[in-house]
Amino acid sequence: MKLRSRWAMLKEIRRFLPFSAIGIMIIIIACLFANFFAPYDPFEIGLSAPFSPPSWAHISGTDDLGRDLFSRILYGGRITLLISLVATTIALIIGTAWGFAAGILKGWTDEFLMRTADAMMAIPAILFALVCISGLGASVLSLTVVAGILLAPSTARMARSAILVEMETDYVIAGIASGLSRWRLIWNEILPNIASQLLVQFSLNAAAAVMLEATLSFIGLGVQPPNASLGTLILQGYAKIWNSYWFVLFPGALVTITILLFNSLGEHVRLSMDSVKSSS
Amino acid sequence: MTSTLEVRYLTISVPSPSGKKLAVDGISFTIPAGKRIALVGESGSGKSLTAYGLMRLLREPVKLESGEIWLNGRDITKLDQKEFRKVRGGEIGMVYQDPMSALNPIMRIGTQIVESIQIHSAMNKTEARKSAVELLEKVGIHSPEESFNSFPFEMSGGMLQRVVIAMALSGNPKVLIADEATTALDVTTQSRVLHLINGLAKERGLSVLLITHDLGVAAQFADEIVVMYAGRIVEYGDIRNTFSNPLHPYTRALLDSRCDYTMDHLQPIKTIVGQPPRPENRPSGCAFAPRCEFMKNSCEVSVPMLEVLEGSRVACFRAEELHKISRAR
Amino acid sequence: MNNEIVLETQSLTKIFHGARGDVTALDDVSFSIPEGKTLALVGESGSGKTTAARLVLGLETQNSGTVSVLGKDLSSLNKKELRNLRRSIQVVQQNPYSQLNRRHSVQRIVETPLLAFNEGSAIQRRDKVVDLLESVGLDSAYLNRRPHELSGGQCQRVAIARALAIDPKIVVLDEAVSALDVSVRAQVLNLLRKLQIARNLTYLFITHDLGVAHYLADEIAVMFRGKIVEKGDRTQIFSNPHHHYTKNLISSVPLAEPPEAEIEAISVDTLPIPNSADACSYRTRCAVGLAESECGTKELKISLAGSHEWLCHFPLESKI
Repeated sequence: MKLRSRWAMLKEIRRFLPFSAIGIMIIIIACLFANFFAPYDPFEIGLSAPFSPPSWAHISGTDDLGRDLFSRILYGGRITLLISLVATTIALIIGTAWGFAAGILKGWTDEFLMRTADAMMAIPAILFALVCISGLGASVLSLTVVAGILLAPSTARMARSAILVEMETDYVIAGIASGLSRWRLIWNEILPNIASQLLVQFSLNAAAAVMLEATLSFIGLGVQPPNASLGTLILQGYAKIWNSYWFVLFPGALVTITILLFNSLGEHVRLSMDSVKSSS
Repeated sequence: MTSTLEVRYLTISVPSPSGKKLAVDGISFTIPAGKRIALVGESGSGKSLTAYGLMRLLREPVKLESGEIWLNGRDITKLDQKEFRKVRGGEIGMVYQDPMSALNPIMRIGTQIVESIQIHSAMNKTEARKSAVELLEKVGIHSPEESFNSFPFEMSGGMLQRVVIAMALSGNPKVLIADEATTALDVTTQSRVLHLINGLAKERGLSVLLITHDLGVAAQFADEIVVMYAGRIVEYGDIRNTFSNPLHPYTRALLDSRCDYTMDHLQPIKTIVGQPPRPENRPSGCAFAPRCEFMKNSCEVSVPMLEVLEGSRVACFRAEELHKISRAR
Repeated sequence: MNNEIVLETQSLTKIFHGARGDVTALDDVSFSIPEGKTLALVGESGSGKTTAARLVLGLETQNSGTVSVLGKDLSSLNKKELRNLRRSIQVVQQNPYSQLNRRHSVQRIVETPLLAFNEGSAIQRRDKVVDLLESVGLDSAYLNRRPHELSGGQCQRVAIARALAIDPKIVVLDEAVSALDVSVRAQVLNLLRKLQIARNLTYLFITHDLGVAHYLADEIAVMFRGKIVEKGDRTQIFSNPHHHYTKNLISSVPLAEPPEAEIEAISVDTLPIPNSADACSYRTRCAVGLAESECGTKELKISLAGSHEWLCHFPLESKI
């Protein structure tokens, strides 16, 4: 297909890269490379007066120890995003394997795996997380692992229905008839066709993971000092909300925007998948 | 003979990566009252779009660019939405390829027919119900009273298509459009459904527009044939004349490339090189020229217009010449 | 020429257990195909022809009876042996687009069987794919194209090329030309015949189209509700059909010759009456069957006349 004009090219790019994707990428890059983007050292105390409101020098103001809040937000965002992305990846791998096993092996294995998933999904997430973390001790690692485990069952359900659908398709029958082994069939034939569904799941899970981290850190069961994440920042800031609104506003805004963008990206991919399906 | 439906210069555009292209390009044909016309073509011929255009069912970005559709003395393209809704399903009934998608899966079929009757007439519920049962019987569904309460999923494809025909008839149409209505059916069922349409048409003086890719269906169930290629009409004439003496090279080639059990199986099938063009790839000049064995360079320069020859209409620069040659043999 | 039987089924029966009762998709179906020949399984929806194809390809297992490919009984093979046997029997399906992986290039699609069996290096595979594409009439420009960029006919050719990649002996063609335009269908049929002769392929052709069966098949088996009701060669089936369903099928096909006079349709009721198991399941659609009580009670046995066989108590008169 030839792209005849700049406009057509922009449309093509926008199809692959919706604004939500661009937004997320900006946030991820800014946070992961906080070293480069942060204007100040987040740990440096006394740069300016504590509790200074936003100004040109400090875009987000300063915190109780005079540290630049913006830099703290970026570094905090790094932790939050790392937890979120790693947890989501764990959930994706475990969940996909789980769902595929259920869909392919069928019978009692399927029943067992899916009932376990249902059971896990029935437990309130925060409660589950609380129990696990109290047992494991709060840390970035335990938080990541628990989040990953929490997000796996829904991924498994999605993966199972996806693979059940694909197994009935003509190209899979052709693949089986061509002599492909089960593994090759899944990896080379089916996975590429499920990729966009997995991406949707990934996005939505990432949003949920960010929310989970923020919540748990806020109640003190997440990231522990000296590490700071967006959740802990909100925790520190909310007591001062009336006097120094910026302390809670900016970290909170970043959390909200990140979750919105992840959700929006997921929805966008899902919608464009549907339109592809209906036009083919 | 008064014509029931007259299509004039119907033009429909479709979007493509390189801008709007004409998928139906200025076609005109007439369906006289009580006659059956077969609209025949392959993919990309524009025949289905024509049907949708006639029923004003085209959706953006596919657009009816121009043309007139005269139904019993008025141009229905000029009607507003509300008035046209009386026509669609009323004076013009349509039967599609997939009966399952034409029917509401969670509603009993009898109820759906009653609904249709009530939209297009002034009957009350009791009268409409009676009429619906009569229609079901008319279309050959045994035990119509019982079938009235059936759901679509309980019925076979052939029976469903009969129900759809019943619905189309419920509006007392003057014209019935059957768009590949039997393509998805078994051949024995197809035969019965087509005979049903035939019988009903004769009985009610209906005009029928049979849209099909199957030349056999056209031959058996139509009085006149309109052959479409790449959005244009290439041949238009009486069914017997066209089949015994096809004037357009495409019609001739289409007939030769068919595969039925009367052909000699030892001979390879005579094929047409290449494949039908999509609207965005339509060649300039005569659209069939690149695949035509009688092509001359002049064929690619300008588009041939439909001209009368031996009682039929054909759009080919060499039609007369080729006809003379074949007569000489 | 070696006329050994390469594909054979014996008394194949398959029952599907559904929510609304059991459906006998195949009932005591037996056929055999010698090497290099074509058998057409002709039937309408519900005839069981698709189920037969799936059983022959080892995609389903039967309730009773045997499927033998190259002399090997499929049910006696373990997973590995079955997978290995797939080298010998391949499939081309009906829908040109959905049988190709839309994420793969044509090259990747055609070389899939080679990859599955680890045959050849990347360069050797590519060369083989180019050869295969050429033999189906596509040039190497198609290597990098994706299915959605191709026409239906081109996709079908790719599917055929893929089926031939590991040099199978048998190709199962499941309505392989039904979804194609008339002119394209002709091209693909000619291609299939050419390939059969060049490579001594054996075809099991599943179709509802009698014209296609007539063109390609050496032997035709007409199926109705899971049973083979008549089997024979071209002449026997088309010029001398014995079963009423065969006759009905043939006369239902609209020929491209406008009739001299209006033909009245044979309107016979299609009541879905359940049958006693061994009696004729066609009787409710058959003028004779509705009249004769034997058709609803007496067990059917195969009648033979040389290579022509049928399953009917009151077959049509022989025209020979």
